[in-house]
Amino acid sequence: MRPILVILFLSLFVGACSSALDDVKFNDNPYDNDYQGDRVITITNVDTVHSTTNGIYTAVSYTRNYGKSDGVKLYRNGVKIATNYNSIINSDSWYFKDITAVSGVTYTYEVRLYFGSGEARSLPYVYTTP
Amino acid sequence: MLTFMFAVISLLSTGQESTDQVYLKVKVIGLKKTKPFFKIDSTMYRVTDTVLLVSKGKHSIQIWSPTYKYIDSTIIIKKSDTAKYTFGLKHTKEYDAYKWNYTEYKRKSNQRYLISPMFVGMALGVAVYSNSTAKKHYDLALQEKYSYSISGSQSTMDQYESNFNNYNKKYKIMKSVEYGMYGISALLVANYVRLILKQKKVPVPVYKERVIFSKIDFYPYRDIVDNRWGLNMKIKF
Repeated sequence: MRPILVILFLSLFVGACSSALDDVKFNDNPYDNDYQGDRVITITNVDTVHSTTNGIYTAVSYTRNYGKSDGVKLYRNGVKIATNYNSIINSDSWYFKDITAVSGVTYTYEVRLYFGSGEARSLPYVYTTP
Repeated sequence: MLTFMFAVISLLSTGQESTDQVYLKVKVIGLKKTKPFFKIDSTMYRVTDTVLLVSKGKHSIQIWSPTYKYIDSTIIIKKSDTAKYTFGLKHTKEYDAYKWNYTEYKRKSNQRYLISPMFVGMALGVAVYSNSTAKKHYDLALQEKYSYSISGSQSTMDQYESNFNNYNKKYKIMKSVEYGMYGISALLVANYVRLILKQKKVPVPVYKERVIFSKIDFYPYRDIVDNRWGLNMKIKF
């Protein structure tokens, strides 16, 4: 076979490539460590509530916009203090009641959407109880 | 390439020893399709198996068949002769050369017409197989991507991503092979067209019977009635 044909064949092999799957990215799973999309859970408000039935507590409201989850966990200063299970609540907008918050103390709250062992975190929310 | 035809001439001694004539058995072996020209003295025969009654003495024997060498010999028939004469007719050099050239021509022609399409078919077959395999890896890769998307475990997500990358790699390889094979097919087709055009220019070997042409005499004559020239031919055989 002529050398020019060999060169052409090799060029075709080397030059032929497919980019069909190159656009597939692995950063769209909010439970992945390298997730780069919008946050799927956000603390919308933290407020102190005076209730005649439940007394005084801190309400941590959040919004979530991702369907696949087992529930939401509430962290205060990095420590999990409560869990809302999907089997119990059926709403994308809900809140936690922190009945152990002490008046006049600054807390950092964080909610995490969880699915299996994966967690998607919200931005921390700093709140000082009145 | 030597093909022999044998003309066996046997002198039969049965019943004719007392006279001046003997039976001459002529048998030509080896020719199936054509009958050779056999000439004894001035009489020409075209037979393969016959018995002739000839007189004793010297006789001129000529044997010829198209594509064979012309044989011109003399036999002397004596009383009570039972000799057997065997003449081996051999193809002419021109015919042998023609046969060789024609065989080579057919071989090259077949090679040019058949080999390239076979390779084109093989290349396309590999390309189709590569396409099928690439599609399978493509689907598997997307399946891994979907599994990643619905996974809530970092370890399984990493595993799905790794699997995806493996399938993607195989997919790319098979796609490269597929495109390469399409390219090879195109080149082979182009080469095939080139070979066909080349083959079209190769003249088909033709056998020229020079012996018979050398035996033809041409006699031009004037046709007074039609007022034109004509040509008569005569074969000296």
